[in-house]
Amino acid sequence: MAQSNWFNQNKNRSFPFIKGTVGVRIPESGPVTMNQLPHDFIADAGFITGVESYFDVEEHTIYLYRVSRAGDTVLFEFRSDAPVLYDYPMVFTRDIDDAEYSVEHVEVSVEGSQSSESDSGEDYCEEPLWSGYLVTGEMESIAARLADGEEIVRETGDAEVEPALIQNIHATILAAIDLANADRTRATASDGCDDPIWSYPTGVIYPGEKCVQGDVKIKPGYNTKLLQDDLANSITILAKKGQGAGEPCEEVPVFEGETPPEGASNDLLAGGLLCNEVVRSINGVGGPLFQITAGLGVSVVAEPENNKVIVDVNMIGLAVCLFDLSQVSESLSE
Amino acid sequence: MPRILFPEFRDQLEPTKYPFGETVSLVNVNGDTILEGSFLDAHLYPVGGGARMYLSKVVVDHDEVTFFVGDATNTELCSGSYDLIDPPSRIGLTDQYSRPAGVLISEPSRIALFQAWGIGTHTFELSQSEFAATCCMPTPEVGVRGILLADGTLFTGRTWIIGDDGVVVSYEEASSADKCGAPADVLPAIRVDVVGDPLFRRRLCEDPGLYETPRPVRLIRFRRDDHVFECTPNEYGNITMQMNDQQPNTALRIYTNGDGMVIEVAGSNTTLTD
Repeated sequence: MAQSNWFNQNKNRSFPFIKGTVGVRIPESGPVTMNQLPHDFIADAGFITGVESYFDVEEHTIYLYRVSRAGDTVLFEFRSDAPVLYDYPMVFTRDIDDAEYSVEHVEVSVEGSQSSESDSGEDYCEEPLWSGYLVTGEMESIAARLADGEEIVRETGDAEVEPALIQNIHATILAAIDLANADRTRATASDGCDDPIWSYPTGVIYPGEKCVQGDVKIKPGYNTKLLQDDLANSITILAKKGQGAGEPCEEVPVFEGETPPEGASNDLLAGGLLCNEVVRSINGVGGPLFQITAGLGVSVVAEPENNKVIVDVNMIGLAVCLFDLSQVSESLSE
Repeated sequence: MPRILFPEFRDQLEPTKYPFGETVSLVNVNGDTILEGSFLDAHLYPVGGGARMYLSKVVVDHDEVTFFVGDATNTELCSGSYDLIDPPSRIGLTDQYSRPAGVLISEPSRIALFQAWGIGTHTFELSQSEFAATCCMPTPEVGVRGILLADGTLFTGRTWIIGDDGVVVSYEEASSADKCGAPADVLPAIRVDVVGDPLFRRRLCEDPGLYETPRPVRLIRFRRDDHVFECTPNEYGNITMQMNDQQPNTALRIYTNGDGMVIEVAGSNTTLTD
């Protein structure tokens, strides 16, 4: 039967592992350690470390961690010492009756749908963490060395894959876009008053949609203008009053379900006060300091400790005739 | 002399020009020679790299050696360097945006030979140092590979877009345009809203500790004897106080000046009367 010369060569040498990390003093028969892994177990392999793998070709390696057998099934478990990949081994499955030079391609990703969460709390998009292929040698030879229920486990330095068989595409493309908004500036109370209380943490970044992939459209919202320059391959996002979706009639929440502080007198998400909740001017004269001047026949007495101003229309200083003083209004403000 | 029937991969290729092509000279016009076996293997996959890549430049410096890989359109597709004091066995290659672009495999004793070339830039041409086709993985520049800022910063991988300082970003689904009557696709859309920051003064002054929350007057309570009236401002925050113009012959006057308001009674003062 015609066979690939490339595979034939490899099943007689360490490749795809670095010389000295496998196939050292292989016993004539019987069980082997990983360092003694016979050359004819594996004929070829190749790996692609993914966009989110944080793999570094100068620092990290990929290695065969374990070969195990359960009944007629043999598992080849590859791992990487790249921290992100370590908990996600790549396992190739063979049946003891599989033909020589059987090929299998495997992709390893965090299980679940888009943006699944791993045990470590990190979340990942659908992109594979890493992928690879494996070409195995003679399964009879493997079966002869590995009894049912047995396994061969790597020790440090064993079964390291040739680095040139790894294509590292970490951070080479834009894998996905995650959206978030920083917190808005939130109102605080003045001295002596209680600060507003929100029913959610404030002062944090609020994550929004995660793993936005595919053909992504950038849409101008309120007061936003987009300039697209095909020649320069650029998009400029400008703040322009009334552009895009126009001016908003209501506040735009920084995250879904954002609410005003508890017990707020209005619907302002940042807390604070509406224009009609603060005296900004009297008779059109604005603050912050407003002066009440007592003219002829009037005296103004301030009681700051009571937040009180007494305006006394007492006619003092006026040349008056006797008449009913009750016609003159007396006002008091506080 | 014994013959090894199945030599190890690196041993087999060590006396050959690999990872360079069989037809290259490995000598440049200045006579700089790349010895066979200087590199044991290579895997090149720079973004935008074509099929025929070559070692375009070797720059020897006082403390490091840098290898540049190029193709027909760009002589600096990617590069990698090593420290003269501590030559490695693997040299990672990166492109101008520090994206992984490949690896050169050697051994410290082999790679250290390049420092003997002398300080300077040693250039090669395609015919002199083209890599073997099996080492080159063409990686066309398809799709969006990153977000490049005006200052040259490139964001790749998983990228966050964060709205801040009056800008809010959100996710929507939008229909694709210009479909000439064909059913529109639903596209993921990033919506950008510029809504400003109503409390911008607080934001600008809070960090230096210059901001103190004001205690605004929210209403004015008027009292006359037992009558109490509470006045809140109108939509513009204004309260109007005026004399009772429904009352004939009233002498009370209220008018504004630049600083506030003057309340007085019209009439002659006692000095004039006297």
